[in-house]
Amino acid sequence: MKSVPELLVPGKWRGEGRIVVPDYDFDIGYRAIWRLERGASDVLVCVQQVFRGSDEEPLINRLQIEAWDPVQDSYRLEILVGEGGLKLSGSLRMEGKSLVWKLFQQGLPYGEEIYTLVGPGEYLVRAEYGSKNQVHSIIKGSLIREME
Amino acid sequence: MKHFFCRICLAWCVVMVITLVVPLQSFQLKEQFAQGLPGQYVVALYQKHYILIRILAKEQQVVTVEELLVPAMRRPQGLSWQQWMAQGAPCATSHSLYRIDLTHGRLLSQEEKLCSEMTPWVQSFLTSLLNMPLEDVPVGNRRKIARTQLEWVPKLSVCGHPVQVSGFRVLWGIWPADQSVLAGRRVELYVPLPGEGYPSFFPTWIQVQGIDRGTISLVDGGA
Repeated sequence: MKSVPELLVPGKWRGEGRIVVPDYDFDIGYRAIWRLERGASDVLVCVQQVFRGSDEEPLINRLQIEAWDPVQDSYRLEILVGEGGLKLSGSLRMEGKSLVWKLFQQGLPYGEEIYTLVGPGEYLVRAEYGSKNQVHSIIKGSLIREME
Repeated sequence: MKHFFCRICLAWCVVMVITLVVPLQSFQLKEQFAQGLPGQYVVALYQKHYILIRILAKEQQVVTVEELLVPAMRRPQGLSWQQWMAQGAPCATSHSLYRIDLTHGRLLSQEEKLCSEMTPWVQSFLTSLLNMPLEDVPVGNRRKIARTQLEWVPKLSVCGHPVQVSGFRVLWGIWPADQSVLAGRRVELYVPLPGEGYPSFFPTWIQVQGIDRGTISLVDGGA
């Protein structure tokens, strides 16, 4: 039985960091709240509220993370970015202390998110995205479990 | 019931008339270019060259424009673009003057004061760009910063300093069949809305889809 990474244990997480657009010398801060709950059929449901810059209303992303697939040695996931927005799919794989998310949009590579465990309930976040129609961005931040 | 169907038919007729008679909102860049004032200039970076386009004179709908090209590696350091022009544009490899009729978007005359191997950009592309029918890009189709869904807008600098633009009009169109490599390709443009303190006669950012190095972006401007 594979041990479940702490990031995939239901609960509440708070994150913060910066969104950087290197090609255009642009960056803004962000805050995030994640709520992970166990859904039907062993699916993990995560609602991410992301406040970009001085946003009062968050961008809401909905994630579905399926049970660990022993053949692929990974978790399959689907993300809906924003209300009725971008649809992404991908996989999560453990690499040492890091959980690596590889994301695809309509089968084409979209980006990678790396969550590195740096202490109990604390991850460093590093992500990089870009596609033909979207501007290349980098996210650097942290994610901390909130005790409830 | 009969009245209800009559109303439905009437509403359908009105919709059809509006659809067939009212033309689509179209825009041509020559309208924006006509708002430029003598002395205003923009500097773009394209294929490792700086291209400076300055409005020298304007009479009615005829505008005189100069274009200077300087390889990015050879641009003298420590000079503002205004100082560079005032010193006679040292290291420029091309200098051309054009008279353009903005009513019809056509080149009236052209004078090459200094020639280089690289064909001047204005000569090759400007008239097609000025005449291309453009439409507003729907909000949902505008360029976004990946994963954040934030709408991306280009930056604009005046005399080397970033300026706050009052907004951009985001447009797209199909490059006309002018026998250039761009013919038939989709073009996307960010045109600054008119405002104080920055020239808005030229797009801040242009991208032609499907070709290498198909982006031209302004790096500076002024008056």
